[in-house]
Amino acid sequence: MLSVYEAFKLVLGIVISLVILTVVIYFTTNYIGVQKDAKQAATLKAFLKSAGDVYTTGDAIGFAGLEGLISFDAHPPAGIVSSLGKAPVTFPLLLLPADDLFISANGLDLGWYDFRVVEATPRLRVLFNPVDTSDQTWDLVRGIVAAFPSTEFFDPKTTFGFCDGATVIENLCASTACEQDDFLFELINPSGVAFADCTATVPEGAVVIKVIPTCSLGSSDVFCLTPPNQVGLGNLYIGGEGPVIYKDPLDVVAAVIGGGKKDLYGNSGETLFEYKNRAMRTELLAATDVLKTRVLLLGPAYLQHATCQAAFNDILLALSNLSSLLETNEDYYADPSAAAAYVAALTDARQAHESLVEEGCDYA
Amino acid sequence: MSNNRNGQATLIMLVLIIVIFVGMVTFLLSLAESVSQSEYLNLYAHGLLASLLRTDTGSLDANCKTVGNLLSCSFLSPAYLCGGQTCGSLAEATVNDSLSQFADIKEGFRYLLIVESEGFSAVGPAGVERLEMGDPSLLDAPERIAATQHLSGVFGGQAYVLNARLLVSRID
Amino acid sequence: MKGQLGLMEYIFTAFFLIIIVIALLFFLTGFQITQSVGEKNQGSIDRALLLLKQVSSSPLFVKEQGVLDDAKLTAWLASDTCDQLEELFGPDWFLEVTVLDGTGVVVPCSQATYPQCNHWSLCTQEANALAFDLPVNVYRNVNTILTKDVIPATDLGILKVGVYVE
Repeated sequence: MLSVYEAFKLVLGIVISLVILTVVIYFTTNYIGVQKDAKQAATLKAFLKSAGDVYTTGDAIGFAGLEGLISFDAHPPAGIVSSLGKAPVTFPLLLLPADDLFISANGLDLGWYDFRVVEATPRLRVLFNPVDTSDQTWDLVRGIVAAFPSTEFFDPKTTFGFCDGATVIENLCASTACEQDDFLFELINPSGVAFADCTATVPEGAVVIKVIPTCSLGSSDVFCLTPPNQVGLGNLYIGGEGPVIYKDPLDVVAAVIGGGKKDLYGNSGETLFEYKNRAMRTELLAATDVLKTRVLLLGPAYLQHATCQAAFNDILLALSNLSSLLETNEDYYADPSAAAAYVAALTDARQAHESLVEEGCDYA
Repeated sequence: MSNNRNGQATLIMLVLIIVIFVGMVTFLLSLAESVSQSEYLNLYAHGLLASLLRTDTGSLDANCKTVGNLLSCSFLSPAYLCGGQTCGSLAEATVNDSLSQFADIKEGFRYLLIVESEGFSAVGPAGVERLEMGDPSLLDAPERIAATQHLSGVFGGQAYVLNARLLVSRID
Repeated sequence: MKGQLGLMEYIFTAFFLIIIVIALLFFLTGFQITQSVGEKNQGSIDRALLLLKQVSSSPLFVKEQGVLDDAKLTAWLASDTCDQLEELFGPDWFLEVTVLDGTGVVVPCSQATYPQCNHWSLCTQEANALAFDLPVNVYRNVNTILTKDVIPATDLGILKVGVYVE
């Protein structure tokens, strides 16, 4: 028979155990949630740090472990969206979220300025379908290939091939798909054979980039470009939607990385294309301001040098034109005449800078 | 009596567990801080070496134009004249002056710059031939950051490749 | 009496156990808060380091990696600097560059003092900040002006980049 004292001990023991157990379980479940968030935050932080290092050093790396954690919101202010909120990104980032990513730096060398972007991409299979085979088209194809990541010695890969009618041709480099350098080598002297409009089923994970005089509706993994005109402009249809005006290879790559899917703002490829152009406008406005003032600061030192004075005047004029064009046209990339004027201004600025360097008045 | 001892033992055990837990947390926190510090120190050391070697000396002689040129000259032909002074003495004065300026700006660090041949050790009558400028005790320092950079060019018609190494360590 | 003593000891131990569990909970909660604050500080550190690397490599400031262009730095002093810098790199940060010319005299740069100056300061304010220094070079575009030539020079300098914290 249990004494009162023993019964008391038993009951007290049970009550205290239950209290401690409840508190521990409650805290543990809370803690699991907090730790999960902490792990996500750590992964996201590591990704942003890696991308930042790639941007500043130019050295590419692989990154794994995002596991469906994030998406990229290219609408200003651009940032990476996760369950923890939106983390701002302070450098141009072209991101296609996936578990395994290859992070590399690329950009546009404008002569007087270098516009850099970070590309973070998973396994990409890019199939070209150049129905138009003019020299300008092949130059464009080469430019687009160079604007994609170069994944040699890294994973995941970005490989290139062709689509010719109903046939997909990928194993062009020693029976495997070509990476950037090898594919560019293949394109040094492309054969005169015209490609038929691609009708093949686009393989899993692949995209088709067509260059054809007339673009028609296509699936979300088909990007159709009209051949570039004399100033290098053309139309780009993203998954059958559009068109947008492409001016440089990075416009096309931004659209491809964005993809042809629906997003909050319409079309994901178009959203990333606009993001790239907005980022470029912001940077070029700052760059033209700084470099114009720089010319005015250096000019007085070269008073005795007529050739340098002339070269400085030319670059000042070119930069002023570009600056006022960008100031007055926020959507310079969307309007055909503004885009043409922009390309012409960039060409003038490049030529003026080259003259400046050739005359020995400035560094390259 | 044995109940008292049991109770006391339990209490002591609980206190011990708490102390161990606190100790672990403190240790982990201190570890986290040192990781980000080492990234910055690496950046600093590499930045210091690269910028030091690129700095102009004011001389227009190609063998003496930058501090990197001076160091190469000092290793290969220390008696070579750079505007009235030997490149050996000029290199030492310039490097020591620059490192002491950084020691004033960033207190608590010591530096040692070593220049030696790349890929092999040049051995002379006094042992391994190399230049050392700064605090020699860094050679034995247990915790230090090292930044390296190649020096290459042509001196006296001969191509050369040397290795410049900067050791940075906290003053204890 | 002995029974009551045993009971008291038992209750006393139980009471102590509960106090310790509650203390542990407070401690763990406090630890979580400290961790969050630490994360925030670490976030500021990471941002400052990224800004340091960006400034020392961006063509908006440099001639080449690690070599700041003195004319570009002076040009930044002229315009709506902080607004533009915020648009490009985010809010609440500053940078300072000093040339180590051995004179010990700091001459702030402006369009009027250029090129006879050795210190640039952008977006500085009286506020708490977390800052990092980095040795850099400063490319002096107009170091020496001769009759027939303009001779540049590469000087040693120090770049300081910081983020403002609460």
